[in-house]
Parts: sequence; structure tokens; C-alpha cells
Amino acid sequence: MTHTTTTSSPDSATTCGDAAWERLNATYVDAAEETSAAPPVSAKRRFLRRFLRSRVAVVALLVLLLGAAAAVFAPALAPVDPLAQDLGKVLRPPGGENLLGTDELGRDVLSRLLFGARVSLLAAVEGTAIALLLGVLPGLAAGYLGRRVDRIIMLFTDALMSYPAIILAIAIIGAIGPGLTNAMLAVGIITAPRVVRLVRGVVLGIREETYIEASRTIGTPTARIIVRHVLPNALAPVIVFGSIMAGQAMLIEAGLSFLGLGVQPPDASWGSMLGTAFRYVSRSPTLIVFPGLAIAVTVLAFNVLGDGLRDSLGRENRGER
Amino acid sequence: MAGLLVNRILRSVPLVLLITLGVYGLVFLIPGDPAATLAGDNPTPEQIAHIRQSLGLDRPAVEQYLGWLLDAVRGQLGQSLYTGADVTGMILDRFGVTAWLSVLAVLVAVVIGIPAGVLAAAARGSWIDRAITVAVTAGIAIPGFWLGLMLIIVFALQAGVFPAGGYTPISEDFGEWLLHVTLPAVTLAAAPAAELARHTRSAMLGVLEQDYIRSARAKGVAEWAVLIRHGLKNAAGPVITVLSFQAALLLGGSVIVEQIFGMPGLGSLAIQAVHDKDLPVLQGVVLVAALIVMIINLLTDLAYGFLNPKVRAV
Repeated sequence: MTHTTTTSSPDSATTCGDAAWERLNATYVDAAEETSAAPPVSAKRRFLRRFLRSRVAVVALLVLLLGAAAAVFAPALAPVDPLAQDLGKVLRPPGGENLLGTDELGRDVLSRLLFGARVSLLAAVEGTAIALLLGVLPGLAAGYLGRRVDRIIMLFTDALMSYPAIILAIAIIGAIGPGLTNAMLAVGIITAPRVVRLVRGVVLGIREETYIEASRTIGTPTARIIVRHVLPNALAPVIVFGSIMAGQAMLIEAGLSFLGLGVQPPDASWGSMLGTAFRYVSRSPTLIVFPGLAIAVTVLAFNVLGDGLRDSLGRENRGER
Repeated sequence: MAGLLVNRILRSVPLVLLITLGVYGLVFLIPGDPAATLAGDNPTPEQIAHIRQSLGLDRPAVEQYLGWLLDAVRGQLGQSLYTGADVTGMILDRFGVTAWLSVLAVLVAVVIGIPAGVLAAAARGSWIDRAITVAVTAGIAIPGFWLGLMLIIVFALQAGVFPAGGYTPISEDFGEWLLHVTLPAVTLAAAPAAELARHTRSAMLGVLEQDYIRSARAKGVAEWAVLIRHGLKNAAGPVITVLSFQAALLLGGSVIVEQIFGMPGLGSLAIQAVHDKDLPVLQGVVLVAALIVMIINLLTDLAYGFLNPKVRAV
């Protein structure tokens, strides 16, 4: 049985989060105990064994690797140049020489989808990386130092999380201007508070461990304890659950690009392809199907992978499945 | 209960201040000279000077913020840089659309998500449980806007049952209003319904293992009463948390849904403001959205107090 991931304490309600965050929150303490309790080699091996046993998670990983390969080898795989226009054959349905049809400028949809994978996957990874970069340090400080530092950092985190994510992203882009880099920056900023809370939660668990207390007792400087003992133990669950964050980042990037605030033409991400397809929805409904499927499958894969990794790391589900 | 309310409101004061600071701080994110950037392409020096003066950019930062905050408290969010219209008025005009859409979407999500979760938990391991789990997984991964587009294709363009877009105010024609908001509300409700179902299921599974459920069954309470009165009522805490998360997320999701269905709500106002570089409008929308989220959180806290007497005593 998966345990209930939400707390019913009154404090948890004053801040808001999202599905991904709740899932992240679910097992951090277990994960932290897990990584610290056993010697690294056997922990790694046990993790691998459990992960490989969960077939859905392995399939999800394969899907993502396939998507990454498609992105990397897009120039070789794409049948034609994704930017080559042919106004003689616009909005063709799938089949024939253009396997997935053509768009409003006669460009090959399959080729654009493959090149779009580069932008979409990169955006997901970069958005997550920026969020981690911005969120890990404050999270460590809040969790380990506690007291006033914790209160101040959490106040900022709560404030940031009070803005609905997409609206905050739109506002940031409104200030710094549209474009893929700015959109990813916005995604990073709106995801960062969730990272802070995740890391803080993990660290709160680690802080009480005996080895930290031992380290403190023999007079190790705080900074050294954080870097040498807390960070390595906190990092595993964070990186693991970055998978779920990447899925969320991808959805937000797709939404922003759909609105025309992300990647700018002629470049395309799956989201911006949906955005243009939307304008021709009555003439060529199929245009909408493929980019949407690509996003849905990839996000699903990120989520399933995240869940699989969590189950392999956590103590909760050992022996089940 | 009143004590709890006052306590929570007092506690949110620093948070509100920080939120307003963030909203005002958007102006400092603008690269270069904000006035020149906001003035658009090839502005005249007079235009730049006008914007600088109307946003108060010529004053010290602290003074700017305090002036803006005092106006905001009085309900004055400034003038649109693009049309010169009163921002508060613009937001009030659009507010109804977003509010109705969100309320309806929450209703749809609750009506579908909670019974689905209860059903899945009651029939744990059966095909019903598995079918609901699959639907939940899909509901979480499918981008909302894609679902909206697919619904337009199927129900508007092919079946012709619903209009593909537009909006009729509820005060003008209830039937038309309902037709116009159905597809957007369903689009918006899909993800929260899935999350609600997932969490209701897991909370119910936890509760159904308790001894008092066994006792209730043993003394012959009808199964539906066991599930609803003894089960759901005790599983309600986590479910309400999820509901409040989702309600806040809905507000963001409605931006995209409004755009797809051509509804004149707050979201489309925000996007228009980005294209027009209309900072005061953008700030106004963000502020209102954040305050709504805060109010939702406050209501959630009160709901806890209502459900759990222990919280009330705090």
C-alpha cells in the first residue's frame, strides 16, 4: 500500500504545492534513512535490483532514452529539413510521402516533431536544472540551520508558492520578454520553491541522524558538515525526484510556448507546434494530435520513472509488487 | 472558530506584504531602462517620460513601492499603459469569467474525482480499481490544453454539440452560458479530478483498514454508510488539502484554457498585457491571483477547524 502523502496538520495548508511536490514529499525521510543506513555499494545494488524489477519504470526510462536519442539524432532521422517550406502542399493529412502530414507552411510534421524534441526535452532538463540550482542551497540552509533562517526562507518560499505557477511565469516573461531562455528561467523560478521545500524536508530528517550528531560533537564546522554529510545524503532523493519535476517543467514550457511566450518561430517545441496547429484546427485536426501525444507520453514517462525510482529508494514498498 | 480565523489572518500579514513586494518587484526585472522598454518600439522622449512619471519610476524604490501599495489597498491598481483604462475596472470586468470557470471546474472535479476514489478504494484490486487508476494516470499526464483542443475537435467541430469558443455572461442567457462553459470546465477539471481520485483512494484505503470500520461493519451498518459516514469523513483531511492545492493550480490552468476557448477572463487579460508590455495590468492580475490563492488557503485552514476539533483549539 502506498501511504497517504498529504499531512493533515494545519500548517501544511497555509502553503500550496502541487501533485509533483506531494509525491516528492512522500518518501524523503525513508529515502534519506535508506541511503545513510547501508554502505553505498550494496545500497546502489539494491536500488538497481528493485528498479529493474518494476517493469513500467524501466519502460518509461526506455521511452525517455528513445526520445533523447530522437532529439540527438534528429538531423539524421528527419526525412527532410524541418524548416523547408512547400506552399504547394500545405496542411496535408498523414500518409504518403509525409508520414505525419504537413503543417500550414507545407513543412514536414515528422521532421518538425523530431527537432521539436530537442527544444522540448532540453527545456524540461534546463528548467529543472535552474530550479535545483536556485533551490538546493536555501533548502539546505533552512533545513539544517533551522530557527530564524528557516522561518525567513520559508516565508519567501510560501510567498513564491502563493502565485499560481503559470501566472507567475507569464508575469516574469512579461517583464523580461518572451523567448525560450526566458521561459526556462521562469520555469526554474516557479519550480525552485518546491525544491527548497523538498530539500528542507530531507535535511530535517538527516539532521537528527546519529552520524551528524557525532560529527557535531567532535567539532566539525557546520559548513563542512553540510557539504560532506548532509548534502550527499540529501542529493539522491532530490536528483531522483527531479524526474517528476522535469515532467512538470515540460508541461509548463509547452503551455508557455503554446501561448507564444516560449520558443519563437521558426524554431519549434511541441508546445509551440500545438499553438500553431490550434489556428488551423478546423482545416487540419490531425496537426494537433502528434505534438500533444508526444508531450503526454513524455510527461507520463517522467512521472512513471519518478514513481519507480521513489519506490526503489523508499523503504515503504519493499517486498511489494 | 473565530479565534482560529483571527490567528490565521494575522499570520498571513507578512506573507501578503512579501507577495505585494514580489508583484511590485516585477518592474525591477525589466532589463535596461524600464520606461524605455515599456514604451515600445521607437518611443519619443515624451512617451518615455510619461511612462516614467505615471509608474513613479522617477522616485526612490521604497517610495515607489509604498505609494503603489497604498493605492492597491484602496483598490487602485493604476492605469493601463496601452489603453489608459483603469486596471481595477479591467480586472473586475474579467473576473466573473475566470471565477465561474474555476468554480465550475472545481465542482466537476469533485463530483467525478471523489466518488471515483471512493469506488476504487472500495473495490480495491478489481477491474474497476484498475480502470480508474489508468484514467487517473492519463488525466495527470495529458496537457490540459491538448485535451481542450481534442474536445473542441470532437464535440464542437464534429458533433457540433457545443460552441468551439466564446463566452455569454450568465446574466444574459443561462443556457448559452452553460453551453459555452461546459467544454472549458471539463478541460480544466481533468487534472484535478485525477489528483482528487488518486488521493481519495489512498486516504480511503488507509481509513478502511481501521478497527472502527470493522466494528461498523460488524454491527451491521450498511456498506454505503460505512464508506461515506465512517470512511470518507475520516479521509476528508488529506482530500481537502489536495482540493485546495488543485483549486490554486486551476487558476493558473485557466489562463491557457481561456486562451483556447476564446474566453475574456483574467488569463487572456494577462497574456494580452504581456504582448502590449502593459505592466500595471500584469501586476494587477498577478496580485489578484495570489490573493485568491491565499484566501483559498485560509478557507482550507478553516475547513480543518471544522473537521477536526483539535485544530480549533490552537
